[in-house]
Amino acid sequence: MRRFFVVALFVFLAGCATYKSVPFEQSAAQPIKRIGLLSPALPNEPTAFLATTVGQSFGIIGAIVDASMASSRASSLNTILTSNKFYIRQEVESSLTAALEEQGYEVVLVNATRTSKRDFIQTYPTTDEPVDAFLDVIVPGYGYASAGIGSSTPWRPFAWMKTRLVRATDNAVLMREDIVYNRLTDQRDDTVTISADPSYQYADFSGLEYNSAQSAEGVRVAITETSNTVGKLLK
Amino acid sequence: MIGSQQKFIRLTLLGAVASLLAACAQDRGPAPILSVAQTSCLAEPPLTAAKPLMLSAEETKPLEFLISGTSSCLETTEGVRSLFELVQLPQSVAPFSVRVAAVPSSTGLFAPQLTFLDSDGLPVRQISEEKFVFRGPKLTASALINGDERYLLIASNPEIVGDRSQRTSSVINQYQSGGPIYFTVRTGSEFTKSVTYSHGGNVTITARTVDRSLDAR
Repeated sequence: MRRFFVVALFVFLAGCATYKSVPFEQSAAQPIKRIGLLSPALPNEPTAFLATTVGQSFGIIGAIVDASMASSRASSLNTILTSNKFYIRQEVESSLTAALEEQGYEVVLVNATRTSKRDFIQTYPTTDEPVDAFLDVIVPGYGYASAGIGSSTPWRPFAWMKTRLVRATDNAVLMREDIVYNRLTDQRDDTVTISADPSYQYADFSGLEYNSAQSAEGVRVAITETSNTVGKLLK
Repeated sequence: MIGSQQKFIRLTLLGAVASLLAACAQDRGPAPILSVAQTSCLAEPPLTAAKPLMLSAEETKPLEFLISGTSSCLETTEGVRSLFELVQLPQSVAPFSVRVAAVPSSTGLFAPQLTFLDSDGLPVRQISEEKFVFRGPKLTASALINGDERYLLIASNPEIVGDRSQRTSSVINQYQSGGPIYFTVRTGSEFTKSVTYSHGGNVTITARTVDRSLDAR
């Protein structure tokens, strides 16, 4: 249950946390051509997040009921994704590689040891193949989210990536951006936001479960679009 | 008990009315400008009319203005017209970035194209359309400033004026009861907003020093 609250809070606050965006600019003096894509920090499982529930009005009892239902939905979503061969590490690494290559970069996958799933790496590894910069990516959450109960607030896929590009020679931060696909609140203006594709939305969670293959494809689209935006920001 | 229920109902109604009023009070702004109607336009922007932009460490001093139907216009040799404002960039030894944000009105959104000019007003760099991203409801572009860039020309992009953008946002409302029995009701709703890219609209610009250290937030 504790994990549910932590994940729920993270998803709800997606994009609310402030950070100082650093726009990327290719330098003529020290051009970035080869990027070391570090093993991304990933959550243990997808999230099926309902922002507002009846249970929220009934204190701790309601919270316990909510946690149980959320855990059940997350488990169901996890089954949907794995049965449709969606594996988050593979999706993130392959979509980011494709997005970076699309912008003309050479990409090297770099194994990274992380001490936290929430923080960027502080000491970047040495690599066998030299790289110009490291792309450090944290995925705090992905899955499906809905603003509330009812057909007017459908379930849509969401994905959240925190990204940082760091120059290999001197650890200078060359780019820092957070990107959220289908952010539930659209009020803060620091995070890059992407509207969800309406092809993948369900009036209720059972509809999402029933259309299993399409639901998994929706999360794949969310991850791909988020990665493509990372590529755009590194253009 | 009855008193607290009445208080809760009152608060809920007040909350609902406040939400409605907030929605009504949202910046309606100008209607989208789909063509430039001025009788004559300039061939290049006058540098003396540039608005100065201040540099800040925390993005606390945004420069805000409205590009309207009476704003100055530029016309290319091919006869393509756009409305514009010119901004004078701050001078700084420390590296800094600027962010331009087009702020939507109820129906329109400024369609920006950004060109950096040198001290003589000659174009040195243009921000590609692909670099524009939404941050919440605002269409934004950010860029690091190079040493020879002195002015930023913010002009409408005739190629996308008239196109439409649609975005869905969610709203989480929270109502709290008062009195001895305390409880909270949260409801979720969402709305879809469709805007038309326009020659005019509200624009904000911020300049801020860039911290490249790993410890920066």
